[in-house]
Formats: sequence, C-alpha cells, structure tokens
Amino acid sequence: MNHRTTLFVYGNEKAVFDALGGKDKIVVPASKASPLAREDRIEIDVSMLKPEYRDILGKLQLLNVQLGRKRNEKPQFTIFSDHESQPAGVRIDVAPQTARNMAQYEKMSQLAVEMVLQLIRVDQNATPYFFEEWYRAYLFEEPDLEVSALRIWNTLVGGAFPFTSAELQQATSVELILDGDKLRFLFYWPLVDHRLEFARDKREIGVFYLDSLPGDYDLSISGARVRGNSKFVPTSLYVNSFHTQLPGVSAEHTFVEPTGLHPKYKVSVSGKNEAPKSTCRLIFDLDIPSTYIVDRYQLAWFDDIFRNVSVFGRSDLELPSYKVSEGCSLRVELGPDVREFEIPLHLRYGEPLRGVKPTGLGTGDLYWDCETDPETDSLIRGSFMHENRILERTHWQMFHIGSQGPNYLEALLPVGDVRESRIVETGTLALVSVFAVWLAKLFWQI
Amino acid sequence: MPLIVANYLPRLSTATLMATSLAMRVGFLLYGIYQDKYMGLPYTDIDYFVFTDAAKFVFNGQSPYARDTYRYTPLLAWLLLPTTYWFEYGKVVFVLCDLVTGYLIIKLLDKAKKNKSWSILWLWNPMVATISTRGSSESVLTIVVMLITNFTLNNQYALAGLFTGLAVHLKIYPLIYIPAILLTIDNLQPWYQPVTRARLVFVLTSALGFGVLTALMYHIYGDEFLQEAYLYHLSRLDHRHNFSVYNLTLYLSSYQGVSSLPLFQNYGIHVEKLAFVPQLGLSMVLIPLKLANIDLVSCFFVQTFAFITFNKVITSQYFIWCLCFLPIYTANSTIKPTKTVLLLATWIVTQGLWLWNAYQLEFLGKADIFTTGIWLSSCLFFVCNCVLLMAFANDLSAQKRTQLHKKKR
Repeated sequence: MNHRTTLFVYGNEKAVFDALGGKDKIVVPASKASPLAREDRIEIDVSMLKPEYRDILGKLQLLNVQLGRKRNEKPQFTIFSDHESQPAGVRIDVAPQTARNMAQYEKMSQLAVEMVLQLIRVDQNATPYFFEEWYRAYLFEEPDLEVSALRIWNTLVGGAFPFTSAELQQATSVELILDGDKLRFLFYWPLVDHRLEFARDKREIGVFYLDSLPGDYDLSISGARVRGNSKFVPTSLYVNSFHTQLPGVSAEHTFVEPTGLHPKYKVSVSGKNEAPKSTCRLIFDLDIPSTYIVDRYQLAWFDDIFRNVSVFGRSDLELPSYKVSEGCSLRVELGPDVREFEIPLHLRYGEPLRGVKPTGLGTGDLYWDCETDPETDSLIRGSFMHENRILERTHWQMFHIGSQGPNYLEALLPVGDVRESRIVETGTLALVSVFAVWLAKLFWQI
Repeated sequence: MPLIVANYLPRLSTATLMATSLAMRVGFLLYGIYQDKYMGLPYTDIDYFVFTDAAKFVFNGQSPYARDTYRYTPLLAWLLLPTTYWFEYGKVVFVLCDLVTGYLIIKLLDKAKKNKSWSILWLWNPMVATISTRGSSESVLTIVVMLITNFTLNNQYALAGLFTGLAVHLKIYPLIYIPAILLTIDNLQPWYQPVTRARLVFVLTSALGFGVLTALMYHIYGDEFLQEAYLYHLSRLDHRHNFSVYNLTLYLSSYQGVSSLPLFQNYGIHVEKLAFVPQLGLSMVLIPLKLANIDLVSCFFVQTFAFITFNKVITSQYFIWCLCFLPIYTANSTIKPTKTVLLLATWIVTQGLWLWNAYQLEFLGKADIFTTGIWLSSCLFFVCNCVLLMAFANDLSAQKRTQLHKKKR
C-alpha cells in the first residue's frame, strides 16, 4: 500500500517551510491566516483486496467513483483542479475491460453500479448510460461522505482506516479509481486551517508552494518531501497538466430568475478568455439529472452559439421524473468568442408530494480542449506526479475555466399534492358525469 | 344571431376576402420572423421545429421518427422536405392551406346561399392566422375536412370516403365524422336496413384511403410508424398541465399508478380509459344521431366541440378543428347577439383565467397552484364549454323546429 499526502501552501510559504519538521512526528503548520490544501492518495494492489471483490474488480479493471459534497464558495486555486471542478453528488464511471460484447459490457456496468451503490448504502436506482465508451451513473444527492468512505474501505480493504473521524468529516471529496491492477483512494481537503501531525511511517509527504500559475512549459513547482525517518529534502513537483486551470478567467454559473418550469442555465465568462492554442475548442460539459430535460434539438436551433451538441445517455423529452431513472450528459462546443450563453432546460413534473421540491444540478465544466504538442506531451509523461489517470485522453489537454460561487444550482419545482387526489378525481368525474348526462339528455330531446 | 347581425355584415367579394386574408397572413409571417430574430420569446411554434427536424431526417435518408416526439404521419415530414433549404417554407404551406380552407368555406356558404362574408370568422380570425403562421400544421387537416364536407354535400361519396381515409390517417379524430356522414347518405333509408350502395361506397373508399396510406407508411417505416403515430396516443401519460378538466387527475394517478377511488381500484378502472366513454358517446354517437340530418356542417361543428371539451388533452390548436365550421354554423345560427357576446366573453375569460394560472406555474414557478389554480380554472373552462354545447343544442333544436315548420307549410 502506498500512501502519499500532498500539501499545498497558499501563502506565507517561508514560515511554513521553516517550521516543517518534528522528531517522532512530522508537523506541518497551518492556521486560518495560512491555510493548506491537502490531497491524500492511497494506492493498493487489487491482489491485496478482500478475495470476494478481487475477482469482480479484476474483471472490471476500469472504474471511477467520485463522491463530492456541496460547496457554497469558490475554493482557492490549487493544483488539485480535478477536485475543485467536481460537482456535488456521486458519479460512477465504469468500463468493464473483460466484456466480450456490448450486451455484456452494459450488463457488467449495471452490476458494477449496483455494487457501488450498495457499498455506499444508496438505495436509489441509477441506470447507467453510455458516455464516451464508458457507462456513467449519476446521483445528484449529496452523499454521506464519512459513511460511504468507511464502507468502501472496510468492504474492499479492511484493517485500520488511515484517517481520523474528524479528518474525514472535513474532506470535501473522495474518489475511488480502479485502474487495471491498482486501486486508488483519493481524499481532498481544500482548506486545512490547523496544524497537521503525521506519524513517521511509510507514508510520503510532500509540501509545495506555487507563486504563479503553471503555464504550458513551466511545470516545475518547488517543495519538500519526506518519508519515514528521513529529513525533508528539496524536491520539485510536476503538475499533471492534462488538466490545468486557466489563469485570469472565471465563469459564473447561475439560473436566470425566475426559473419556473423552464430554467435557463446561464454561464458568464469574466476575464480574458482566449484560446491557449490555435487548436483549442471551447467546450461545456453538463451532467443532467433525471429531474431535468435537456432538448438537444432545441440547442441545435442556436447554431450561432452552439457548434456541436451531443447528449450522452437517453433523454426522454416528456416523461415525469418519477417515470425516469436515468440522467444524461450534455456536451456542447461553443464558438471561440462566446462569453455568455444560456442552456435552456426544462423541469420534469415531480412526485406530487405537495409544495415545491428543490431540484439540484451540479455546475458544468467550461474548458478549452486542446491538442498537446509532442514536447509538452513528453514533459507531462515524465513528470513526478504523472499518473496514467483514467478518463483522460492522453493526447489532449484541457484548460479549465474556474467557476465562481457554489458548485450546484437549485431550481424550485412546484408539484401537485397527492393527498388531494381523491377530491380532484371525485370532482372531475362528478363534473364530467353531470354535464355528460345533461348534454346527452339535451341532445336526445332534439 | 345572423337574423340581426347579417343585416350589418358587408357583402364582400371572394377576391376581397381572399386578398385581405392573404395580406393579413403575410403581415403575421413577417412579424413572426422579426420576433424570432429580435425578441426573447420565440414566435415559431415548438411543433414546427419538430416537423422541420423530422423533415431533415427524411432528407438524410432516415426515418422521421428518429426525431424524438415526432408523432405524426410521415406524409407531413415529406411535405416539409424543402424546409431543409428554406426554413419558412412549411409556414407558407400552412398559410396556403389555411387560405384554401377559407376558400372552401366561401364555397360552402355560397352553396347554402349565405353571405360569404361570414367566412371572416375563419379568414380574418387572428387565432387562425396566428396558428398557421407560427407553423402549426392544423390547416393541412382543415383543408381535408372541408373537402370531405364539400364532397359529402355534393353527394360525391367515393371522393368523400377517400378524403375521410386521408383525414383519419393524418389525425385519428376525424373518425368521429363517419357516423354523421353515413346518417346523411340515403337518410330516408329505414334503420333496420342500414346497408345501401352509397353508404357502402363511402365506407369502402374510407377504408381504402386509410388502408393504402397506412399500409404504405407501415411498409416504409414499420412498427415504429404504428407505435408513434397511433398507438402512442392510447398509452400517453398526459400529465403536464393543459386546458383539459382531466389534467390534474391524470398527473396524480400517473404517480400512484391507480385511481384514488376505492371502487375504481377494486375493479382496476383507470380514469384515462373511462374518459373515452362520455367523449365518444356524445361526439361519435348521440350528436351525429340527432344533428346529422338537421345540418351536417353544424353537426360536425358540435361534434368536434364536444370531442375537444371531453378530451384528455386540450391545447389552443385543437379549437382550429371546429373553427373551420364556425362561419357556416354561425350563418345558420339563431342564437341572439347578446347571448353570443356573453358566451364568447365567458369563453375568453375562463380560458384567460387558466392561462394566467398556467403562466404563474410555468414561468414563475408558483407553488400550490395545481389544485386551486390550474384545476379549478380548467373546471370553469369545462363548464363554459358545456354551457356553449347546451346553447348549440338549443340552437339546433330551434333550427329543427323551423325546418319542420317549413316542411309542414
């Protein structure tokens, strides 16, 4: 088992690096005035997992489970852009590598999703849909991160859990990545405002500071690292630059008010949003829960804004939410000069359980999708932190436009009241019967 | 009403009527293009996008049913193929169909020796012009329905039958006209000997018209065509708000899966299935039986109005189905002008009330509006439509008495 803790210093780096150390323990200072960002990565060989899951995971080989909490404010920029852009909810992506045909691929994906949902104790039904060679299922409910992480750990790995309960409560996202014969757990804390103490064990700890945002060819970041009883030694970290946050530009994601039954998802870009390279395309990805409808045809009418519109997964345009279990994903390519756009959405009729139902939607991801030149590609591949992360095309590079504000939006859906169904049905039938008989009598008398 | 109003109605020539109507529609069309381009709320009907998308699929050698929610005959997508190059083409076709419908109304008024100017109820009707210029295809059907009326009144039963087959192929509801037409053909035939040559011709040609087109479409598009164009209408949920009195019941029962009434639960009765009984009982049986031989056009008008009133789904476009008969019905009507104004005002007010509530729900997301807002206003609208049907029944009863009086004299 490999455990690596990466700490990212936001400011006051001299004080932090000067205070690093400790004999029996490794102490990293942090305070409200000088907070840290923390990512813990634990890698385990699949062969070390409990036998009942070894076979299943061995057959799947590619699985990614993301659990994200709702966030009310924009996190400070760090190198952990994957976590930062992660919307609230549970996302499961699976690509069973041992399936022999498409039917088996789909069936194994469904079983994998069911297995994960059982692991995290979610009794909802989430039918996965096909998305770029993967099957994806999405739950937009905020997960119980502590329970889910502990359940997954105890079921798959067993033994001592590497974090305290207090640590786990403050984590904002957890990711489980199965990549061939390796299983990785990723935990993320965007804001640690108290000093951290680590036992001097096999864990590797790296502390890094970045005074400017990484560019295409400036991938080195200085820091220090330590493992076991050794001293902190200077080191450099290479950003895994498949995903990079674009500096000096941000996007505001909002619903146009009032939302009614037809919310408009508005994205306004502020700052200088220029394509990092000539080969880049501006893309917007949005995961649509089953409570919303996105009409691909309607988007196609706005061809001056949306160049290409793709909806992955089945998106019924009419049924109420209680008759639909699967969501879908929207991907639109925008014109390079677009700075503001609206995605017309529609709310499905909801379960008639009275009043209004808050209907959430994780914010989308706006990014430049660029081809990587061979030089950068080789730098990235040779970097310290480079890992053969799944879900990424190795020959493409994404420049994300960070979002301002919360990572989810909510529309209020008015619903009927099923408790009134007897009154309504009786009233309707009485009215129809009385007038039908009355009219029948009147016409009969002609 | 015409007894008094007819005196004030100017006698306009066919050319004047058609030219003014054309000018009006061109104005609406141009305004629509302007609104689509410069205003937030689009003028073009959402269904028009469905038709044109389906036409694009056909143009690319695919099925029109590849377009989600396309639930019409493929003929419509074929008709609109040129929209692939010229988006407004379909609207122009619908406007022309709407004008031809107006022309057929004039011919019918001429035949009945009535003032042609009554046709303004269709030709100058802003609702009609708006619906066709927004790209709703109803006028394609109204032409066919008016042709059926013309052929039936001219005793051309084979042609009437063929067009009835086409009408039912286009949309199922013109099926309700078949009993009325059969009752007017050889109307002196005793009930215990219903089969006559002319009736047989009408039935066989109707079956031929419907059968050939449907078989051809089935041959080309297979089960998908039957499912989307016909069978879907039998199983659809209809849970979203619309003018129909059944709407909230259907929403709530679609969630529960069963009726909320214990008696219905015990026998597995579903309201959506039961709704056909009063609807078809009135519009397809009783009304044709009593009205077909008083005045066929008025019978069609009342049948259609009753069919819409008792339907599980009602939208504004549906009223176009009966509006094409309105000029001829009005020309014969005996309803007093004050009563007409009162009924019309009530119809507009109750519809306006529903629209106001729907706006609160649809665009402002107002809570707790389903029962006290949408349902109650749809009940009021239903009552208003029933009151109108009563007025039509009394009116046709009076017309029958006049006819009998004339015969006696």
